[in-house]
Amino acid sequence: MVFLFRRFLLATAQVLAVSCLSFAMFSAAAGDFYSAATAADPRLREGSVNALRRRAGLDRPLPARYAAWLGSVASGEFGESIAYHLPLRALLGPRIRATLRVALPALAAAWVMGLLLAFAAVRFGFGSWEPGAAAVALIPDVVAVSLLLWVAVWAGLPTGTMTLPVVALAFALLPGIFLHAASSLRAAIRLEFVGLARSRGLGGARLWLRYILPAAANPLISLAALTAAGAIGASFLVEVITGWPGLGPFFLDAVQARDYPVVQTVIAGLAALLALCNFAADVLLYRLDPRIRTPHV
Amino acid sequence: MPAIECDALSVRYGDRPAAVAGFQLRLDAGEIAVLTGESGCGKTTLLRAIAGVTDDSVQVDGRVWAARPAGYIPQESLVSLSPYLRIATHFEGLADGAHGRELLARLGLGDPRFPSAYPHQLSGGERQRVLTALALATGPRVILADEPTANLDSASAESVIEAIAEYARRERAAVVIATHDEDLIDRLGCRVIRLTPAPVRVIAREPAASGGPLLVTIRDLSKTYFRRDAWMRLHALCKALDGVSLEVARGETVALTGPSGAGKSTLARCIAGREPAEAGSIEWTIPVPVQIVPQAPSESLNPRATIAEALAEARVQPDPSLLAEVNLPPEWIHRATAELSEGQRARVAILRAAEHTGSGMLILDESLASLDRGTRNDVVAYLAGRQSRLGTTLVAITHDRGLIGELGARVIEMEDGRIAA
Repeated sequence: MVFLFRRFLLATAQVLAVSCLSFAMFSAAAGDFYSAATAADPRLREGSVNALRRRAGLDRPLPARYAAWLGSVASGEFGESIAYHLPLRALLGPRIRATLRVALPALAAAWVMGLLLAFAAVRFGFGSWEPGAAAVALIPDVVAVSLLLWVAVWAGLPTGTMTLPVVALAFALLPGIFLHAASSLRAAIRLEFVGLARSRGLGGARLWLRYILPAAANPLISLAALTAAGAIGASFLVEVITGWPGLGPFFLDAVQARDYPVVQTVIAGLAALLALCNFAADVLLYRLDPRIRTPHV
Repeated sequence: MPAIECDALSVRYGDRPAAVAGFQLRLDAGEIAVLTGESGCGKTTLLRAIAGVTDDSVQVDGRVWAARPAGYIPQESLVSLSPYLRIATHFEGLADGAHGRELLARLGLGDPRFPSAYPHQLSGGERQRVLTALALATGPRVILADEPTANLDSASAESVIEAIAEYARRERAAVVIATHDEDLIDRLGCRVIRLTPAPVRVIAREPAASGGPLLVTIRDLSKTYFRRDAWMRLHALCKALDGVSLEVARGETVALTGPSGAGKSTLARCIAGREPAEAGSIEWTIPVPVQIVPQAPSESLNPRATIAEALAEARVQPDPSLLAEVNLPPEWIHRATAELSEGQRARVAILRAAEHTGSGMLILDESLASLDRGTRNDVVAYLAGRQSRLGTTLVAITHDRGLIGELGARVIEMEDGRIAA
């Protein structure tokens, strides 16, 4: 339990540090929401823009703004968008749901396919797949997704539905998962205790479920946490390219408009998600590995 | 009726020279044989080839046949049982629960905590007996046991040998036991297969001349171990050293003995400067290099490095002729240490530590305890030769009365962090 408690403290500290750092970084960048707006519309006068700045609290010093943002997060409003004059809770809700509708099925599909392919590659010796998968894994997500979009348009498939972003995201995640799962399984079947279990006549489902998979699971759980958080980030990209109304386009607009409270909250949210996934992985590892969980005698 | 037949059997790892070559054996059902020979002569390789426990890296030529199922009992290591499974779960698919518990009980593991324990909660000797029980649970017609008694006290060793012999009598199984234990070989009184006869060397030494120049003076050394809780507060765990005073002369051999937990290793680490003491002083008359050889000497080697690289790491000139000092072929200097047997790796590790130390102080922390007889004799001869040549100071932490005699050591008995009077 001490182990988990320490990990939890560490995760909380990480999220706070990321939010602090990103707050400082965006404040250091030149300009704000209103300078972007002034550039767009030269009729706006300096005095009235400054009044608007004051109203949004942009004239206050950095620590005060950070404290205000923290307070707003704590109250459940998650800051206020300058562009929309609305608390982010109202704005983010539907967009988070849209992103999850893409990211979760894609993540699940990528893991199921990745594990099955890895099992097939190791069990039936299709080792020749791996260089191919490694090559595919090297293709940047942007290129892969654009290519997929192009194929969909060319084949006359509907592009506005959920299917395209889900498929695109799943294929972006698949090669990495497949390669890691295959190498974990390959390492596991070479373990001494697996060879010894086989020499005692064990095979089939018992050998795989009892001996090989638990030994291979350890690195995969850590990978699962990373891909879960990474899927949301990759989903942003896919959404922007395929025009899916999730967090991705919203975040992009906010960055371009310098609507920093929005950017700030989304970045802190992503950091919190990564920390949460890692913490969940730690809990799972703690549950699964008797060497951590049980006393040594 | 033969149970094991080998004819012109050769086993090689990759494109290395054969680890076993031209091996012949015919063993009938119910027959017991002992396989012996120096470490690294291919005993494990041979047993695994007969049992069929091989992987892609192993190439087997010639004829090898054994009745199935074959029960292979490996020499215990931390990876020979799955760390994720309880002991009882390892028996699933081999024997029903009652039979498994009965086998464990026959090997002295009858306590109900054993079936539900995880491997890491057992001692090495207990795990070794679990491996024996697992092999017997498969109902084997041949048993291939690799040093099944190496980590065991004599009573447990007795129960293991008795269980194997009793099973072999009852089921008419053929048995091959690889061992270095001469007593066991005598007692079994069976056929002995000697892979390479180990040269017997007689080591006799005069007790080291005491009264050499003083090397180090230790006064009132104390050391407490602490543990941190979740709030990073310190709690005292135990007082490992409690006012130890000791003088060691140059070129002397000192044996530190005493029950485990007496503070021997802590004292050694403090002398070597690996750990700060909290009170007391260690004064060197002249500064000399100090090296500790750990309990499993071979673990100090990077398996990817060659012998030459391993030596160079410790700023020892990788001179092939050095290898001859510990009875290794000089042409092996560019072999990876991973390709050596346990005993050969130990020779390299001890050679490296000793050469690095020069005429300084070498501390052996139970380093010779796990070595087979041939390796141990060679290492002792090598260390003794260096000591008389260079005046090396030796500190040996050991329980082994025989070793203390061979080294001609002054015995320092420790207990509860003090030197017993």
